[in-house]
Amino acid sequence: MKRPFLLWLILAAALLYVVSPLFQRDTRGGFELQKFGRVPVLLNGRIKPLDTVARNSLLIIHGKQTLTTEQGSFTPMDWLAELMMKPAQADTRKVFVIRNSDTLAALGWKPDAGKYFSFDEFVPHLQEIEQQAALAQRVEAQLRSPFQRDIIKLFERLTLYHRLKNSIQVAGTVDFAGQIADLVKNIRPSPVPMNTGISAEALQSLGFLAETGYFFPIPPFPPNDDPLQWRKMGESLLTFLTDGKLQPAVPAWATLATAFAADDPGTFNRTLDRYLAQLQRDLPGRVWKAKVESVFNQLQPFYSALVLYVLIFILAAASWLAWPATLGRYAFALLVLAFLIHTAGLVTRMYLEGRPPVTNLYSSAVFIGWGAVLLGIFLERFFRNGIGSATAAMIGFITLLIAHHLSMDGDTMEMMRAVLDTNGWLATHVVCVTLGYASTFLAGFLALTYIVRGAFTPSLDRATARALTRMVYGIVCFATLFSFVGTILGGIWADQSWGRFWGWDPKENGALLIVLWNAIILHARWGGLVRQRGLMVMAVFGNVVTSWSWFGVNMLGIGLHSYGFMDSAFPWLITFGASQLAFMMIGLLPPHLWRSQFDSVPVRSERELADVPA
Amino acid sequence: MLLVCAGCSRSDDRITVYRIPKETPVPATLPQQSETGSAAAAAVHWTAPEGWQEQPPSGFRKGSYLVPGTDGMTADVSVISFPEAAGGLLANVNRWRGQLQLPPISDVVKAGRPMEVAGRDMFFVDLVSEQPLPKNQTKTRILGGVFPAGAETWFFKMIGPDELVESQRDTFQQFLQSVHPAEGSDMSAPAPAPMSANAGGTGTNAPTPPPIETAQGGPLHYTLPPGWQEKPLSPMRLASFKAVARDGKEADVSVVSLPGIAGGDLANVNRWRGQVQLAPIDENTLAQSAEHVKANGHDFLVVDVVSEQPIKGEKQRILAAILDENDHSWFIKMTGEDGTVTSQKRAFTDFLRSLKIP
Amino acid sequence: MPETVVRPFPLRSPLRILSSLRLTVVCLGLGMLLIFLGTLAQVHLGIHAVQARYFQSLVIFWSPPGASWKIPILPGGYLLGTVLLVNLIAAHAVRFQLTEKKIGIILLHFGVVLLLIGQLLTGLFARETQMRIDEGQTAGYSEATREVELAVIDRANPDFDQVVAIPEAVLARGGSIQNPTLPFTLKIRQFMGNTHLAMRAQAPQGLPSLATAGFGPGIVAVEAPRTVKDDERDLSAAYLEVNGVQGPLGTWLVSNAIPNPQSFTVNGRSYDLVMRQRRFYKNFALTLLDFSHNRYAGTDIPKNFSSRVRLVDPERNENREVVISMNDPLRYRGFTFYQSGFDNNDKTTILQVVKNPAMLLPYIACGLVGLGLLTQFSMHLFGFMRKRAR
Repeated sequence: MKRPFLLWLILAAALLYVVSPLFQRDTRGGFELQKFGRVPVLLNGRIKPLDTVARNSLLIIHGKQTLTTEQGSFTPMDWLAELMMKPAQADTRKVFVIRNSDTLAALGWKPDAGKYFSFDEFVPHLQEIEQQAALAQRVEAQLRSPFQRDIIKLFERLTLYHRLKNSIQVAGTVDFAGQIADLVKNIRPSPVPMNTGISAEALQSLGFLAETGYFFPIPPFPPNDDPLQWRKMGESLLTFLTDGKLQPAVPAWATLATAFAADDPGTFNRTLDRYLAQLQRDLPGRVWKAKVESVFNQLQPFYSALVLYVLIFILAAASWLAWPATLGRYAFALLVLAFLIHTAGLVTRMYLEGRPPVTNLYSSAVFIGWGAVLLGIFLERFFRNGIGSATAAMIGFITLLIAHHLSMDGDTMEMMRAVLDTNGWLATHVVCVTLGYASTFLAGFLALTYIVRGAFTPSLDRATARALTRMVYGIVCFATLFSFVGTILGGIWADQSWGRFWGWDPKENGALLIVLWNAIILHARWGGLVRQRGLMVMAVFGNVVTSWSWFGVNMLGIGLHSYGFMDSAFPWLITFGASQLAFMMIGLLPPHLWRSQFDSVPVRSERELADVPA
Repeated sequence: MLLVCAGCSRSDDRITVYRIPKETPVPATLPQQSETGSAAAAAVHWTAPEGWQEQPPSGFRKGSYLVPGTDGMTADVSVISFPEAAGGLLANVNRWRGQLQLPPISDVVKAGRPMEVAGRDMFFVDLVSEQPLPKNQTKTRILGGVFPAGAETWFFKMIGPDELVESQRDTFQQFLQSVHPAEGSDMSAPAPAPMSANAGGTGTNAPTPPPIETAQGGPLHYTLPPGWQEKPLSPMRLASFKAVARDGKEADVSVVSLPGIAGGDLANVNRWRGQVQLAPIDENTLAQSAEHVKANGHDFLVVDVVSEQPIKGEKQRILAAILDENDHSWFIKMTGEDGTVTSQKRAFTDFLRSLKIP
Repeated sequence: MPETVVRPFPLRSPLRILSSLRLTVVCLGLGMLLIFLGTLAQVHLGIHAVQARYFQSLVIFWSPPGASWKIPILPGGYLLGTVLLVNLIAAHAVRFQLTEKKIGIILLHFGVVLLLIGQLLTGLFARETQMRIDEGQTAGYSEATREVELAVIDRANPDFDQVVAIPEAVLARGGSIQNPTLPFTLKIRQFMGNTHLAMRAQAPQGLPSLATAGFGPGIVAVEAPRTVKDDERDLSAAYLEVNGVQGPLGTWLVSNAIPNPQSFTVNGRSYDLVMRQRRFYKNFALTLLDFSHNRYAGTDIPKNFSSRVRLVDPERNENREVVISMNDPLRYRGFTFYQSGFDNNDKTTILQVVKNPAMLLPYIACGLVGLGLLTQFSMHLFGFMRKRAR
C-alpha cells in the first residue's frame, strides 16, 4: 500500500520539524553559550536556567526572542552573555523596540527613525525618560494614556537592562576575577565591612552590585535546597567581607565574566564545565530541572503545535472539497501528533512548576486549546467528516496565538500568591472551569462551521448538518457539566478560603454567565423553543459569553491593572464579539438565502436530537 | 475572659445593651489610652516642635506625635526604644525600607548619614517610596534617627505623605537635635490628644493631598562644567559623571561619600598612587604635595597623581579631592588618560567650587 | 419529559405558565442580563452597592441623573431567584416521574433549588466581620468593617462596664433615642455617613460646628459621598444633643475617626460617648501568640501567612492553641475565622469572622448537582457510543 507510506512520511517530516531546534548549536566565537544557558539561577522566587532569564528579558526589551541586527542574529543567550560580560559592545546593539510615535517624539526622534534603538542612543535621554515616567506613574494605572503607559514601560525596560548589565559585575569592570583574587588576598574579615581594609570605592561598588543585580546567581553554600539562601553576586561578596568565607560559585562566575570579556573561549568553556560539574554534585535536582527547562525553551513545543494546527486546518477544510477520505486521514493523523506535542509541552510545564496545568491567564490559553483539541479528536474519531479536526485545529491555533502574546510580559511560570497556593483547588476548580471554556468555545466554533458552510458554500448536506447538530448538542452538555461543577467548586473554594460562597465578583459572575447560557441553550432545546439553526446561533453566542468571562472581566479595571497585551486585546475582544454577532445574523437569514439548500430538518420529536439513544 | 452578654441579639437595627468586663481590649491601630502613673521612665528626653500634636504613648511607643499638614494630611512621629542594638542598624533601616516597599539594601553606608546629637552619633535616614503606597495614594517618606543611648537604641521616626514630611525635614532635624539622654529623671505621660485622623489604619478615605511636583531632591548641588555628562539611571547617579575632552576621549568622575573618616586621607591617597603604580608617600610628603581648594565653606584636599610609565598604552592620571566634614568623608575623583585628565583639570576645580554639600 | 412539553404549548393555565420551560429560559436570560449589568456597574458603584442594588433586591430602578422619579427596569436577584425556584418546583410537580432516566435531572434540579435557597438565606442571615489582634493582645469581639455604632458606656460599676450600643441604621433614621437604662435622651441632630474631618485650627474658614461640648467645636466636619472602594472605610460622624431631665446638656460630635471617648455627667453619673465600628462581642476570646508571613525568595510575593492564636472559652472550658492560615480557617461555635490580612509590620493579624447559618447548603447542593449532571450526561454519552458502535 502506498498511502500509509505517504502518511508516515508526512508524520516523520512533521516530527523532524518539531525536534529540529535541538540540532542547532550555539557556539558564537567558540563560547559554549548554549551550555551556559543551562546554569540554574534564582529569579522571582523560582530557580530557572539562565536561558529562561535571557529569553524573557529579551522578549520584554526587544519584543522577540531573537535579536537580528546588521551584525547578524543573536540568540537570547548570545545577547545576555554580551550584556553581562561585554556591556560596552552590547550597548551598541539596537535592542529596544519603540512602537509608540509619541514616545519617539518625546525623545526627539522622527517617527521614521526606525523601530529599534541601542542603549547608547538612549544615554542622552535617560533623565528625560525617568522624569516622564515619574510623571506618568502618578496617574492611576487605568487612567494612563497610551504614551504614559509606553514611557513607563520603556523606563522599566531600561531599568531591567541596567540591572541585567550589573548582575555579575559592575558594568565596565576590567578583570573582575583578578579583583576578587586581590580582595581574598588583602582583606581582613570584620563584622564592619569598612574595617576590612577594602577601599571606599570597592565597597561602594559591591553595595551597588548587591542592590542593582537582577538575578541571584550564587547557590547556597554549603549546598542545600532552600531557595531563600541563593544570593546575588554583591550580597555574597559583602558577606565574604564579614565572615571571610568566599562561596565557590563567586570566583567561577567572575572567571566566566573575565574570560568572556578577554575573548578567551578556552578558559570560559573549561570554567563552565567545572562549575556545572560542581553544581551537578551539589544540586543534581536543580541542574536536571534547569536542563529540562532549557531544552523546553529551545523546542518551543507550543510554537510547533501552532504551526501544525494551521496545516491541519487547511488539510481538513480542503477535505470538504476534494479527496475527503485521504485528506481527512492526513489531517487527523497530524492532529493527533500536534496534540501529543501540545500535551508534552503542557506536562513539561506542570513538571517544572510542580503545579496543575492552569495557574495564570497564559496557561489557561494553552489549556483551553488543549481541551478543545482533545474533544475535537473524539468528535473526529466518531464522525470522521473532517469537522472535528478543522474546528479543533482552529481553536488550537487561536488559543496558542493568544498564549504567545500573553507571554510577552515575562516569565509565564510565576509563583502563586498565598491565596492561590493550593494545588487541590487549582487542579479541580480551575481545570473544570477552563474545560468549560474550552468546550463552550468548541461548540461555538462547530456552530460557526455550520453557518459558514451552510451560508457561503453548497457543501453542507443534510447528513453533515445533522452530524453537526449532534456534535454541538453533545459539546454543550459537556460544557454545562464542566462549567457548572467548576463554578460551584470555585464557590466552595471561596467559602473555604474566606467564608463567602459567592461574592458576585466579576470573575465569578463571568463563570456563572457561561453556566447560565449553556443552561439556556439546553432548556430552549428541550422546550422546543429552538431547532437546528437556532441551536447553532445560540452556540455561537456562547463564544461571546466565554470570551467575555475569559478576557472581558479582566479589562473592567476593578482593582486590576491592565498591562501589556491587555491594552491591545480590548479592540480584538470587541472585534471578536462583533464578528460573532454578525455570524449569528447570517445564521438567522431565511433558509433560501443560504447556498446550501438541504431540507431544513423537520424536528418531529425532541428524542431525535436530544435523546440520541432512543 | 468572662463575658456577660445581656442582649447579643442578631436582629440588625435594634439598640442593644450589654455588659463587658472592665479591661476593654482596644483594637490595634487606635492609640491606647495611657494608664496614668505607669508610663515608663524615659531614658532620653526631647522637645517636640510647635505644631506637633502629642498623642498618648502606647505599646512600644515612648512618644507619639501627629504632624498636621494642609488638606488634612498628617504625618506620624514615633519614638521607640529597644534594648541593645536591636538587630543592627542595617536591619532597622531595611525594616523602614520595607514599609516603603523599597528593596532592602546590604550596604549600611547607603542607608543614611551620621549627625552629632548631644555629643553622640545619631544616624540620620531619609527614605522615600518609589511608588505611591496603597495606604494613602501618595509617595510616602520616612525620616528617621537612630540614637544609641546606653543599653538602649532609640528610634525616632516620622512617616507620612512625601510632600508633608519633606516640608518637615528641618523641623524634624531640630527635633532630633533636641534629643538628649536623661539621667534618672521621669517623664510624665502626655495628655491624650483629641483626635487621630489615622484611626482605622488602612483604608480610611481621609482627604488625599494633591500630587507632588518634585519627587526627589538630591542632597548634592553642583554646576556641571561644559563637556561633562551625568551618568544617570544608576544608584550612583548623584556621584558619577563622564568628562568628555575636545578630542572625544573620556575621563570618569565619581563622587563617593562615606560616614566616618574612611581609612584616613593618607591611606586613600596611597591607594590611588598604587593604582597608577607609584610608591606610597608619608604624611609629610602628602602635606607638602597636596593643594587645597576652598569653596562654599568646604575645604577640599586635592591630590593629582600621574603614572610614570604608560599603563594600558597611555599614562594614567588620577585627580582627586577629599573632604572631611561632619564625620563624613567625600571623595571626588577623576580618572583617565593623562592628557584627558590634564585638559579637564580646570573643569574639575570649577566643579569643586560649585559643589554644595549638605 | 412527557410529549406535552415538547412542542410549544399554548399558555393557558397559570400553573402551565409557572411550570413552563419558556419561563425558565426567560428567567435565565434575565438573570444573565442582570449579572452582566451588575458586573459592569461594579466599576462605578463598588461591589457592596451593586450587591445590594442588583442581587439582593426585588426590582432594579433606574432614574436619569438629577431626576427625582425612577422607573423599574429589571427584576432584581431576589425576585428572579424566587420565580426560578417556583418555576422549578412547579415544573417538577406537574411532570414528576420517578423513572430511572429522570433520576439525574431530578437530582440536578433539587441541587439547584438548594443552591438558590442557600444563597437567599446567606444574603439574609450571614454576617461578615473582622477581628484585628496585635501580637500578645487578646480580642473578645469582632468589628463590622462598613458599619458604625454609637456606644454609650457607663463605667460606674467597678466590676463591669455597661454598654448601650446604637447601630448605624438607628442613627441614620434620626430623631431621639431613649433607652430604659439611660437617664437621658439622645437627639440626633445630624448623621453623616462619610465626612472629611479637619482640625479647625487648620481650616479656620470651615463652617461653624453644631457641637457645643467635647472635641466637636475644634473640628470641622464636612459631609462627603460614601466610598465605593473596597479598600476604603467611611469616616462617619454625628452631632448628638444630650437631653437630661433638666434640659439639654450640650451637643457632641462623635465620629469613628475620634477613638477617644467623650464624657459627660448626668445625675452625678459619668457616661462615655464614642462612635466606633460596630462591635460583636463573642463569648470567647482569641489571643494572638504569633503572626508569621513568608515570601518567595527574592520577591515580595507572599507565600503564606498564618496566625497562631490561643482560644479561651470559659463557658465551655476551652483553652487551646490554634493555627489559622490561608485556606485553613478556625471554625468555632458557628463562627469561622479566616486569615484575611495583616498590618503593622507583620505584628497585627486581621481575621475575617463569618457567621453563616446556611453554610452547609452549597456543599450539599454541589454534590447533588454534580451527581445529577454526571448521571444525566453519562447516560447520553454511553447511549450515543452504543449507537455508534452498532
